[in-house]
Amino acid sequence: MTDSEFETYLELLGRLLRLSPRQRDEISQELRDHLEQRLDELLELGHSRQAAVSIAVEELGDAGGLAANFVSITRQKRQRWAMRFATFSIVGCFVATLLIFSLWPDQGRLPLASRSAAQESSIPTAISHGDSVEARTARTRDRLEQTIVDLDIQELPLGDLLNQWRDQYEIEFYLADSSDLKSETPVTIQLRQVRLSMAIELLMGEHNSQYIVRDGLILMASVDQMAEWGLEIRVYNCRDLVDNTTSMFEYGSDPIATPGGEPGATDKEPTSGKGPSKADQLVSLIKSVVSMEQWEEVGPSIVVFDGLLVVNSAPAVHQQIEQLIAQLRKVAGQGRTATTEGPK
Amino acid sequence: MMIENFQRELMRGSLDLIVLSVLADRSQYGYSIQKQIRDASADQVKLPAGTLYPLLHRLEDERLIRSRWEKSTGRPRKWYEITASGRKQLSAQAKQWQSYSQCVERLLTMVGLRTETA
Repeated sequence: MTDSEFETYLELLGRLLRLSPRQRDEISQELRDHLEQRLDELLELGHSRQAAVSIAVEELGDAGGLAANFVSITRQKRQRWAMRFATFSIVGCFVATLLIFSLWPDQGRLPLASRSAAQESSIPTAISHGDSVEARTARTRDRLEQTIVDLDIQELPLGDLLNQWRDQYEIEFYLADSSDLKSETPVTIQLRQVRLSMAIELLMGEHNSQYIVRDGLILMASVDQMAEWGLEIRVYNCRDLVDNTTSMFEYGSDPIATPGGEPGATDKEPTSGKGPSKADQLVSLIKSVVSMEQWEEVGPSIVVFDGLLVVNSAPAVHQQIEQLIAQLRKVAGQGRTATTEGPK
Repeated sequence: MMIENFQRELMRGSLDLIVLSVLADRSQYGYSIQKQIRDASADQVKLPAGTLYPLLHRLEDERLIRSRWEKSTGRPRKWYEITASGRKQLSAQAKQWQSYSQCVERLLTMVGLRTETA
C-alpha cells in the first residue's frame, strides 16, 4: 500500500541514477525501506498520512541532488581505481624495464624494439613475459573470444553496460573519456549470438573508438586517443607461416604507392623474382584485413625480415594483427609451439 | 546564521567518525543509524537521509563498513557493519578528535569561556 506512495519519487531517482541496474535496484530498495519506516514513525507521532508521506520524502531531499551524490561516489571510486591502475602500470613498467636492463646480456644497450616502445609509447606496455600479467591478459582474451552474447540495448549509458559486463563476465574495463566516448555515452545495439569481442568491436566502431587488451584490462579509447598513446614496435615470429625467402620491404613509411593499386602498397618487387613470396603475401593480407583508415591515421610501418614481422603501430592495430595471425595459425592447423620454434 | 554554518561545518568534518562510532557496537541499518544519532544527541545532530545513504555507500566503497541484505522483517533491509579497517580508522579519528577538542578547550579556558569542566 505504501509502496505506491513513494513510487514516483523512487522512479524519478532511478531514472536519474546513471548506475548499473543492480546498483539502482539496491539503492531504490534501501530507500523504500527507509521511507516506510519513517512513515510509520511519523504516523505514530500523530501526523496525517498525507503529511507523513510528504515529510518522509522531503527529508530525503531533491531526487536530482541525491542521485548526483550517489553517482559522484561511484565516479570517485572509478577515478581511484584508474589512479591505482595508472600507478601500478607505471611502477610495473619501471620495474620490468629495470629487470630487462639488468638481465640483458649487453647491458649498455637495450633491444631496439623495447627502446623504441619506451620512447614512443606513453601507455603502459606489458614488457615482461610468462608472469601473472600475461596470464590475466590471456584469460581476458579467452573470455572475449569464448563468450557469446545476445544484446538488445536502447540508449543505455556505456558505463552501465560496462558495469554489467564487469559483473557478469569478470572482466575489467578502463574507459578513457573523450568527446567520442565516455561513461555517459548512450549505447544502442541489437545483436544475437555474437562473440563478446565482436560486440565490443562494433560498439567501438559506432563511436569512432577502439579497444585493446592490456595487462588483463580492456582499454577503450577514441581513435585519436589511441594514436596519442603512441606507436610501439612489436616483432611477430611468422616463420611458420612464411617460407624462408628473405624479403625486406616497408609498408606505410614509404609514401610511394603502386599506381592504381592498393594505397600504400609497396612498389618494390620481392627479392625472389618469382612473384610474391609468402612473406609478401602475408603483408598484403594484413594490409587488406586491417582497416586502411587505421593504417593511415596512426602511420604504422611493417618490415618483414627472415620470417619476422616487425610492426611499428598503435596498440589497436597490433591487436588486429595478433588476431589475424592467430586465426591463420588455427586454420593452418599449426599450434603455438611450432611458431615459437621456427626454422633455424 | 553563522552559528548554523559553524554547526554544519563541524558535522561535515565529523560525519565519518559519527557513523563509524554508531556502528562500532553492532550492525545497524540506515534508519536505525539516523535514529541513534538523533537520540544520542538529544535532537542536536540531525543527519538528513539524503546525506546519510550516500555517506554509507562511500564508506562501503572505502571498505570501512560492509553490508548485507536481510528479509527477516518482510521487506528487504540492508544492514551495515564495521570492518577491521573501519575500526582502525575510527580509532585514529577518535584520537585526532580528542586531541583537537582538548586543544580548543584549553584555548577557551584561557579566555574564560569554558562553561563546563572536562
